[in-house]
Amino acid sequence: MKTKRLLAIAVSLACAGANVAHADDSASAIKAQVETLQKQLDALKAQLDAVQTQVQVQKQEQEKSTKAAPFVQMKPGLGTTFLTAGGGEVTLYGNLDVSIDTTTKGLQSNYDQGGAPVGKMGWLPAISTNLSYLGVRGNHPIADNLNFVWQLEAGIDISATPGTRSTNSNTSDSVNGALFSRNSFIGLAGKDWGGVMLGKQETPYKTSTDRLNPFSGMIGDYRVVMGNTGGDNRVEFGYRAPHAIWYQSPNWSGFSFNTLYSPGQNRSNGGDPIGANSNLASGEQDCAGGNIPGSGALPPSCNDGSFGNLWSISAAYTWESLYVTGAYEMHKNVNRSSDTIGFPTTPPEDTQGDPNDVADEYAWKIAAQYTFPTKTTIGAVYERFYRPVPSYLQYQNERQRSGYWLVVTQAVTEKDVVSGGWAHAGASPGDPGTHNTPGGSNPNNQANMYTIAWKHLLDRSTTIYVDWAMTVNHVDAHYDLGAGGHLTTDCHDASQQAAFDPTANGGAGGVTGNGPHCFAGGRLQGVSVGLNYRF
Amino acid sequence: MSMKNSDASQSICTTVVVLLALTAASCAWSPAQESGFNAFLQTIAAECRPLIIGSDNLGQAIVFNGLGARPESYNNFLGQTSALYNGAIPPAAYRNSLNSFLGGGNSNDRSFDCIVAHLPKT
Repeated sequence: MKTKRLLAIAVSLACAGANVAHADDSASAIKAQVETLQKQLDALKAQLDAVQTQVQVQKQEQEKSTKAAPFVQMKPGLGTTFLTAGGGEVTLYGNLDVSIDTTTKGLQSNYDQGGAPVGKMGWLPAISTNLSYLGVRGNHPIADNLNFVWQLEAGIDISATPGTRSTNSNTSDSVNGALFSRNSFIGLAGKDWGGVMLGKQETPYKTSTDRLNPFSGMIGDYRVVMGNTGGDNRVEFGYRAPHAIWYQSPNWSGFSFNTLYSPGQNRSNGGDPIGANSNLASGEQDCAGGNIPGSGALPPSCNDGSFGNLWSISAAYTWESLYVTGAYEMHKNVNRSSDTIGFPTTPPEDTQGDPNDVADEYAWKIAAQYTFPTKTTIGAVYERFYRPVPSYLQYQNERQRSGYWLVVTQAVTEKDVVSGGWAHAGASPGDPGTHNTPGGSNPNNQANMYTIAWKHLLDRSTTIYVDWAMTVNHVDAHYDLGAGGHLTTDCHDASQQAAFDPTANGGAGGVTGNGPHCFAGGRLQGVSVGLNYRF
Repeated sequence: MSMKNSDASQSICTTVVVLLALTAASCAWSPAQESGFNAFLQTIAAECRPLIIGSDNLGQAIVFNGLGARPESYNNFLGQTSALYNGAIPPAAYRNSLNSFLGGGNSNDRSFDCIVAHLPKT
């Protein structure tokens, strides 16, 4: 038994010794393996570090580019023009102009006739959106020398709220911000023969001298006097004719011409109790020439300047630094019977005025512009308006007169341009009167307007400007300060507007208020600082 | 001080402040920020004189910030010329567009040739 135990111990020890010897060998191998694995791990770690570094760099670059990029990006170089299939193109364009103004109507505090104007007559600060618009235009080649052309343009109110107009000066159903309230058309054009378009467009009479008006859309715009027969905010001969067709010629060795026709589309005629063109033109929401029936606290008819057919033509000669132009425009059968309300010549039964006060109104003008090597441009315009009414109605004819415009512009630097202008309105044969003037023959209704502006280019698209203007009306005149595109500063006071009032007449309803009153003889003045961006 | 005088002072002060702010912004505009496009326009106004397209004198308009051309024509010219300068449209499309909207004429080709000749070489 003892021997067996010793034997077992001996065998166990022998086995243990063998195991120890074997363990020594395994430990070396394992150590080698561990070292190999460690090397592999180090290599993997190095690779991982490299990948992490690369990812970090990429992330940083991405963050950097995200911070630099605008929210919406266009492809580089595309601007706002896009090529279309078939070789045409489409361009987005626009003009954004807002100014801060301070203006005064320059009226007296009290008048022998008419009493005291109602409301603030002193300086009034204002913020004005001036001739701002967005548009898209394009062309599509059809054949050599034949393109389909189109343009859709909408006015925009940046500072004011868009809507129908109901101001102290006029009431209109047109909406400036409606699509498409401004020059919009389709047509065909070719470089050798010109273009024919259909739609609505400013007349050739208006556009022929646009280039002589560096104050467009500002206070002191030359349209305060030029093209503006009566001195109100409507510029009768600075018109955007709706439902029109026109032709624009090419430039033949310096000569070119444009012509436009707009049918009256008016179903009223000369036999109607209120006279010809006293209705709305078919398809339009305003009377021809602007404003709704009844604007100006008048009876609800188109009898305050509504007309029938319109045609307009201009011709120009351009040669190097010289530009010469002449233009003519006709408005057929302009109904101004409301101007005769309250005068002894109007029969009592004609409650909306004398229906015979319907006559053609037409105008012509000549103009020239020349640029000297000193970077000085001078320009001049002379125009005449006519309204041949029967002699017994001449006493109230304020639509026939002369107009003058002189302008000088100096480029001071590549970025600075200074302009000065003077406009003069001649006297008319008659005057329908205002709240403080009786009206009648040979009124003292001349006026002068003076304006100075400095424009500074921040870059080719962005301009800041400062503008001063003053309109000096003679005692019977009521020319304003910003006709043609600037916020209204005119002859009207703040009297209550005429409107239906259900509480009037003890609850039976009726019209209350007799409308803002126009006071003639004001010395209007203003300063405007604005920012303009076009693209 | 009367209400009227107070209004006048306030209006004039506001206008002056805006004027000063705009002038300061203008002065802060360094020559380095002047765009290459503007320099290009100045070049063609000088080198391509008379730069007449249709019946509009665009060279004069460039110098006088629009005076010399119908506003619509000048705006159109600037947009199209910017697209041409940036390589967005080829010269043929440029010619076609301005012929259509500013009017054709026998001064046009000469003006277009000169404008294209002065484009920066790419």
